[in-house]
Amino acid sequence: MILTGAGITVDLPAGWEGSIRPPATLPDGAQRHSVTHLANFPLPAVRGEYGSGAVDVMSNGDALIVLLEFGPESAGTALFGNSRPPFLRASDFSRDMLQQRVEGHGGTQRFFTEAGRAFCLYVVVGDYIDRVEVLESINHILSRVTIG
Amino acid sequence: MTALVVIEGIVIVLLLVLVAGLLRSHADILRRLEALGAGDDVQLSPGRPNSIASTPQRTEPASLASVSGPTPFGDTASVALTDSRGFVLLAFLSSGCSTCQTFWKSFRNGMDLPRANIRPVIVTQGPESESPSEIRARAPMDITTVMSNEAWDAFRVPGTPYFQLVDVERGVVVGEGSAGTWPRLMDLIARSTGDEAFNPVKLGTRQRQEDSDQALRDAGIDPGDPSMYRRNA
Repeated sequence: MILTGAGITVDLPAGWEGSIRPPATLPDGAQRHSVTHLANFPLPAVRGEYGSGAVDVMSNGDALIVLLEFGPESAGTALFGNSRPPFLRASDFSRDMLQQRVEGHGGTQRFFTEAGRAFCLYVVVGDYIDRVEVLESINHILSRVTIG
Repeated sequence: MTALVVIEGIVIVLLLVLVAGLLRSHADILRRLEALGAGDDVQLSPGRPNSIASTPQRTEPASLASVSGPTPFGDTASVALTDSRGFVLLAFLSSGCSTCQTFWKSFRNGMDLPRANIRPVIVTQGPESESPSEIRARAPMDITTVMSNEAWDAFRVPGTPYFQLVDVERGVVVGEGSAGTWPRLMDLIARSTGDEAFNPVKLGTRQRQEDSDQALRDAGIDPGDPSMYRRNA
């Protein structure tokens, strides 16, 4: 199933679901940028940008992929100077790299620029110890993400 | 005079026969409407088969691997219907149907479903057929609402409100039908899913921790209890 929005396209295999929130101008004039959530477990409808609400219901074998876009002024800056990682390794994950610390979970965060757009890739696994078991699936999804 | 009385009698008998025929015809119509669920104020789509009776314990493959489309809030969403866990209750609703208002309100009020592993997902027709602003005014924020004509076609939605219960782990529809009230929907779900059809609820990490903590507290073991630090000699 192709999920597309905000110039981002993801070819989701069976069992994966997701959402793409497009950029928008908020009532106070602030600019909101795109947020993409992809998961291999039922995503709650109400979620924070970094997946709060969703990480609470994660279990063993679950994975949450967040693509959080930043403003165009961030593109190419030192923090976002790298290109998108082609794949993730088990060693990229840490119990301390979580936006919301949940016992047993592990996460990783990478910043990159692609197509002139700045992104944070944030990935959470429900079981840090057995993260290798879901890593292939995560990398498979990441290879099916296109940013235009 | 006698002739007039006879004629009047014949007319009265004919009228009685006519009234009896009309009553029988009406009863037949009402029976047919009842069979169609008209008592639930169901709105049938034109050109659909005249049968929307609920079919619990059905196990047909789900017509789609996922339901995808724009949400009334501007996002794009995709909900898995296979190879994941739990159940998805697809609620096909529209903004205009009067019976649907009951369900919009019930979903907004956070009415409970029989099991924690049943996730309601509201599916309306796509933006080309439904007004996103009308749906936005009705859709609850805490339930995913997807606007998809493709889903309506794939699931052959005969009218609204209409429901399909999908066992997501097996990717099969275990029940479908219409209901006019929330209790009737609960009844449909209950009949569609015997206990044996349910897989154990897979809990999240936090819920498992809370359950473990509660079990320990129930056993009189609080944080720091010496029994947790006892070592064998």
